[in-house]
Amino acid sequence: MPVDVIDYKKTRAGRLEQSGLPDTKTERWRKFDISAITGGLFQEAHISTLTKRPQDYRLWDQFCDRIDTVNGIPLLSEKRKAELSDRFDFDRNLDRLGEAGDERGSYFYDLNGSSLIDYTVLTVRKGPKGKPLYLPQHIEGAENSIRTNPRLLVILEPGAELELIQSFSSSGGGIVFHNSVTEIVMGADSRIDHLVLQEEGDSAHVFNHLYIKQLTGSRYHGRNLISGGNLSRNEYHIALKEENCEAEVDSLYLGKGERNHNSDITVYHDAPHCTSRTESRAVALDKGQGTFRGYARIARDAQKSDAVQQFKTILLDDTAEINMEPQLEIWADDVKCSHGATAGRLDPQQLFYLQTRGFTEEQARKVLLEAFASRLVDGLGMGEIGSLIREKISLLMEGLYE
Amino acid sequence: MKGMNKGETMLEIKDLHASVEGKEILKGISLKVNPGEVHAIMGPNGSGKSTLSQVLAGNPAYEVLSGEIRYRGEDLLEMEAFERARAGLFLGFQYPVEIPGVTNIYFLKNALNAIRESNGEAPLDAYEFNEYLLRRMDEVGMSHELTRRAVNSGFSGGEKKRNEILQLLVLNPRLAILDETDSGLDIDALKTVAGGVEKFRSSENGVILVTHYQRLLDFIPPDFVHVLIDGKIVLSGDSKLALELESKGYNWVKEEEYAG
Ligand SMILES: Nc1ncnc2c1ncn2[C@@H]1O[C@H](COP(=O)(O)OP(=O)(O)OP(=O)(O)O)[C@@H](O)[C@H]1O
Ligand SMILES: [Mg+2]
Repeated sequence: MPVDVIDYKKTRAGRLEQSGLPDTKTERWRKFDISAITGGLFQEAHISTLTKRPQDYRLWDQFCDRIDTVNGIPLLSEKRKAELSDRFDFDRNLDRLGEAGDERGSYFYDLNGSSLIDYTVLTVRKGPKGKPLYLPQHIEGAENSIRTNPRLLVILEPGAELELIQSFSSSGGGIVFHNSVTEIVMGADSRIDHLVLQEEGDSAHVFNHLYIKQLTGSRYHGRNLISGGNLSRNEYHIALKEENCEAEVDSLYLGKGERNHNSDITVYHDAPHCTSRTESRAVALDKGQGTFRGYARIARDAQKSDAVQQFKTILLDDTAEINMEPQLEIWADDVKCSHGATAGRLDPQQLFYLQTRGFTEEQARKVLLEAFASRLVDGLGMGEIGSLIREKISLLMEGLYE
Repeated sequence: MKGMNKGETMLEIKDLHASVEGKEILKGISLKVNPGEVHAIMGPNGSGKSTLSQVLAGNPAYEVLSGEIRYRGEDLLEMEAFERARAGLFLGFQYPVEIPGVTNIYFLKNALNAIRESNGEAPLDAYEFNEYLLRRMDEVGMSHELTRRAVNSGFSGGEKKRNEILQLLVLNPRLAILDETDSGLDIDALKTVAGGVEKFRSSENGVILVTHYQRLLDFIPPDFVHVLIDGKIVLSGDSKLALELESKGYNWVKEEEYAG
């Protein structure tokens, strides 16, 4: 870790005190009681607990390039760096840590920054897209309550393309808290397809903070699958800084049991002729809870902005609760903005139509849920992994009632 | 599904009363359909034609208050909607339902295979099904591109109706209830829809055509025509009745009825 990170940590620590811990009195955290995290004593993950490479997703290895991060520390040897050096640099741009996130910050961003033990700065050069890059974040050996602060900065050089997958996992049986920060800085005309899989266990809390800064003509497409964890929060801050950028975020939350997911997606339209589209979907049952907040801010100069926010929820019983809160703040006059939110049961007409064609009620329900969920992977590339994700969603929908 | 004995009635409805949202809509319907017969049901808007169709198909939103329905020797009211479908009862919807996210080909293949399996037939594999489907699509003049689209999603009114006839031909049931499948079609579409029904018609199959227009009946001459008014069949006759209705309207029937 370079020395100047010590200064960085100090600055963030200073901010941390100012920003103060959010609680349910704060508007944006109103429906999300995090006392389980803030009240408990979490130890910072320590290097010595790092043992072996996590086992999950072995199958994927042949279809992607993979770099594990265990307890916040990237397992990135010089040899591994060299193997990946045709597309990526790992030793450049280290001083740009914070470039996308510092401006916005937040309590947990600063907590991450002030507690860093390591981080990854990945510079992606222009060239053939290559295999998807898979960056699993794992917490290992957690017998007690452990918090990690994984930190990633991805810099796409002009014209660069990347398919990026992140996931969260843990082993050891203790209570874990992933306090992850990912920054993505997108050079002109760069492109990224960014998939985040959150399938943690019931005793894991996952906060995933994403700060995306887009320059001219860049295209960001984020997809988010949340089918695990206890308290989980996704925060997207997408800043469209220059003209002709496109940003899309699709998410799918399967809420049940102890899960409580909080999604907060903000798009800052700072420049003209940009489009953003967010679609947040949730299926909830058996006391599952969630809050989805969307916020698009169109600056005065951002004429011809086009911003769409969609929220769709299917509630499968009366015990689940999903809140949806679209918001717009528009300062330009020539813009196209819309938002919509729907929540309800599976459509009885659709269920009946399928049954008149020979599907049992259970089959019909499954067909409709899968159709609803499959939106997440519409147009997803990522080669073989794309197909594996599709299968995964299908299995998740099948197992929803279990 | 076991075969029927020759001469057995396909469908027999006896004094059927049914309600929706607590309001009685069907007020004593009796009707008998034998294999090989085509029955037309006509009647003014709101008289209960679609309600009858939905009740026959097993829509749980409609409550059967009393009466009896036997279908191919079984108590239809004891069967769930999917069991009715698997037993060869098909409803062509007046308003086909859109199902975003489910492709037509997935829908049709799984529907057909569910029905085949319950009849003890081997399911078709993807290749066999594709061949089979494309032939049926050609029969109803449907663009092959519609197989990849979501079921009825964004289909034009005419495309939706053609899709219902396509499903009829693909699923190949025994009794087809077609609820205004002819409405909203241009003349070419009407001809292909009529052609589809004609293809389906056989000495073993029964058809109930719900329609407002003689023009469909020109293509598919019915054996019987029934006039449904205010939840009751007030008049039955042969195909001439339809022509008479067309020229005189339903008020004429009502007057006849009150005249006794
Ligand atoms: N799901 C429903 N909820 C409430 N009322 C209904 C429902 N379905 C039918 N009805 C009512 O039942 C009555 C009969 O309707 P139905 O659709 O059976 O008529 P129809 O003869 O098919 O008419 P049309 O020729 O216009 O298709 C109408 O008054 C209608 O409003
Ligand atoms: Mg009708």
